[in-house]
Amino acid sequence: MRSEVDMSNVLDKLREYSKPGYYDEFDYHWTMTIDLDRCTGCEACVVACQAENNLPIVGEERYAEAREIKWIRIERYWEGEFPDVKLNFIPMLCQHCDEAPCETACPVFATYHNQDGLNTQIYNRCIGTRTCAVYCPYEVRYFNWFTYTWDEPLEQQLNPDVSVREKGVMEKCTFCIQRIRMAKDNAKDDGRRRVRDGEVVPACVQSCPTEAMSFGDSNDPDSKVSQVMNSPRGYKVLEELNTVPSVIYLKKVHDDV
Amino acid sequence: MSISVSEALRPARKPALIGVVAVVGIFVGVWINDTYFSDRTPVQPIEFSHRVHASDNEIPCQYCHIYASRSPSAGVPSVAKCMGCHTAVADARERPEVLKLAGYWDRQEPIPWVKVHDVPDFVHFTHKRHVLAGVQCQECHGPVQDMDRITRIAPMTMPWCVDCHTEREVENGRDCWTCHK
Amino acid sequence: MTMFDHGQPTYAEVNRDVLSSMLETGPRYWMLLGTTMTIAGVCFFMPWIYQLIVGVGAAGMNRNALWGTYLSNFIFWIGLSHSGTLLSAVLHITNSQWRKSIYRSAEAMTLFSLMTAALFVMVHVGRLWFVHWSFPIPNPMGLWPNFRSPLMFDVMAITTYLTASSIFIYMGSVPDFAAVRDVSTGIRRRLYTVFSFGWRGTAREWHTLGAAYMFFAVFVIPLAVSVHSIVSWDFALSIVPGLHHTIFAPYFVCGAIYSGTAGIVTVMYMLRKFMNFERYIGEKHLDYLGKLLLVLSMLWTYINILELFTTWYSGTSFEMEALDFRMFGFYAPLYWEMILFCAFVPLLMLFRKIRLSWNKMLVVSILINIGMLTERFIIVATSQPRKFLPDAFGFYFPSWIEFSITFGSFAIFTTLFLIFIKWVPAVSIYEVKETLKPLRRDA
Repeated sequence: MRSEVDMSNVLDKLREYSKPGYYDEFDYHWTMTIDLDRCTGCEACVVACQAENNLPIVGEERYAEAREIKWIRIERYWEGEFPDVKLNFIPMLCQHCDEAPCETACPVFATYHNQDGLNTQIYNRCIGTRTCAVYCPYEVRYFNWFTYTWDEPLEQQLNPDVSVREKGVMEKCTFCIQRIRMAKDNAKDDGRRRVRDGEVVPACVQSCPTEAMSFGDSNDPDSKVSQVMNSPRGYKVLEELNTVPSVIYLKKVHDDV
Repeated sequence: MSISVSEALRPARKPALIGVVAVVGIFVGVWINDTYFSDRTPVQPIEFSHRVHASDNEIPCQYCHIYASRSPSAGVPSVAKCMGCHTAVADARERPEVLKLAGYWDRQEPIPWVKVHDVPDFVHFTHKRHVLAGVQCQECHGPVQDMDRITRIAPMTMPWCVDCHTEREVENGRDCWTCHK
Repeated sequence: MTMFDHGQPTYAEVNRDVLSSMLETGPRYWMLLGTTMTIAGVCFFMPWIYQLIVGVGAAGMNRNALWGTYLSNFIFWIGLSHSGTLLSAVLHITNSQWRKSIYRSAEAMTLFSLMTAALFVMVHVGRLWFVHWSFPIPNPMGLWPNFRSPLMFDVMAITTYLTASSIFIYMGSVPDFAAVRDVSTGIRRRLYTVFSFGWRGTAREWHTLGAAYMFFAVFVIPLAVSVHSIVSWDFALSIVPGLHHTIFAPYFVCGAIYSGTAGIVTVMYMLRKFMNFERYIGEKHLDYLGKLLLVLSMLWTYINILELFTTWYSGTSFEMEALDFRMFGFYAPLYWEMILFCAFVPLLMLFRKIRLSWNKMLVVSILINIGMLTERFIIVATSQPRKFLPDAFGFYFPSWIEFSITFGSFAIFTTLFLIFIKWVPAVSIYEVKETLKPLRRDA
């Protein structure tokens, strides 16, 4: 009754996968750009993500234990000595690396790279070895140390399109897979082959008041991200680790430079 | 006593046989229970017959389950929808099950139907995509039009889903994020 | 110095001494077994059940260190397992006579520390009830485990090693099971008839056993080396500063044999003390094991210096940050304690006087294992909180549940070992007899 696995071309497949730019041949390569020059560190994206993706409210005590769950966080770095200081913000979320260290780590394929260039996390497959989070250089994977509950009216705001995770499960930014799925669904209804640029808007991008973030398909040369990501200010965090992230940051411009 | 292993094992034969019979018995028992006595055919608050409605009276599925082709959920018809017909269908008005329906209508209560076909919360299943792709209702729900009380025919498990996706060569049909959310 | 400190025993005496240790059980044994089982239950299983109910958050791990003492203890126990079978196999191939009275319990140590290590994997994972997914079992979902994952290598390596060491120890025990069978009656006789596969002691059987045993001895050696290399890859295949070192595989293998040999010394001491094996485990064994430990300690120190050197030489800020935290951060006392116990204390064994003293060797061997336990903890606890992004720098301290489970694991190991010595002759009867000088007419 099982579909047979064709073992003959496994080596060819492996060679194919290890080709640089392998994922560019697929329909989509979802990419995000974040303009740090526009980022004010307001954390609207953090709140939007929390609301959209059913992130648990862990409470003060757990936060102090460094067990919070924030799929996107604003990192804050000070530059220089007082009084001559500059403040830099950098929103840090799952980079959906093409060569992700976490993907080789999972023994059960709960995390892998899918055909849309997304780094997936399948909650119901996760057994909680936490290897992926240890291997992740960006530290954007968060573990459910407990089963969290929502107090009375709060459970009413849970998003039905996103699973509520139980204890022992790793979770992370999904680029709002439920919204991507919905956009693809709508495209199919309209008889379109592809999603239009700007049709998928993750919660963080949607909430950004300064429009510092943009999201789209970098395989499409006309999309907004394709144009923004080629800016001379563009860079990838920890690029030297060769993880090939899908989040491209645009460097902050200081007045005195 | 000799040093032969078979001789040493002789007294253990009887318990071993009992053990084997017990294990086989448990497996058979679980299978029988699952096939004939599980809650695949739950008793509903009203003895609603799909055979009468869909087969005898030839009402199409989507006349009542109106959301099947436009939303993830097929939709259970409201009591008002039931009453829409049943106030008009005169010869059925005095039947006991219809009187129950009228009771719910009078009390303005929803009918507490028991869910038969369910998938876990971590699965994203959408009726719309399947119906629009031309999958017949009966392929998953079985010959509903011949059932008096709804029985779950399909196992509703992941291998069952994936088999069909593979067979029909669904685009990205084997990607985990197609169904898991 | 001879093999036997108190004169050479006769064949009959060997049988009597070893079998009596198995067949005659005093109240002291039962009390000890009861105690260890209670400790295992209270300190290991009860906190574990609590943790299963509330979630892994019961332990002290947080998002800065997602691997904690469970994983470091797992590596410690795997390491402890490394000497028994490996040493036994190497010494068998090189035909060392002194191996023969100690190898059985050393191999048992391998087996039981591997089981304890496997338990720690179970304690570590977040959803124990799905842990079978990490085995390549054909399943209706058509899903395989990820063979690129170092954890998957681990599953393979450890199950293979466990199987091979079980077969190895069992095969070596078959003639001894026959010896037990021959002196017992009733249900025990039936049981040992089955255990010994109807062993009769014919020339052909001895020949087959010898060939098979040699085969397994050769088979087990590369396996043992590969197992701990693979365990080290759990760390080394990540890109985390402080873990991503090519030296890790030999470092771990060396450390494993090191702590395992120290473990053997400890177990030998206990066997001698409590099981009256003074006649069979003598100063010669202690001397040889001491020399081995000395060599291993120097090797371990050398690799440690190399690791420091490569880190320093690379000059990358990430690596230096992690190294700085390890050597001068919060856990610096533990780091220097490890250096003291594993690099300097073993140098005492340069002195013959210390090598030949059971009490002093016991202290040295226990200190080495304390050092090795902290080594694994330091590797886990000081690298992860200092990865790449300074914003995510943090700190990890184990909770009381982790301390309790760590303590309880020693009780589990002891319990298993105590059960073992009543079921299997802890000293190989037939092989000790092989070492006796033939026919002493004056005896």
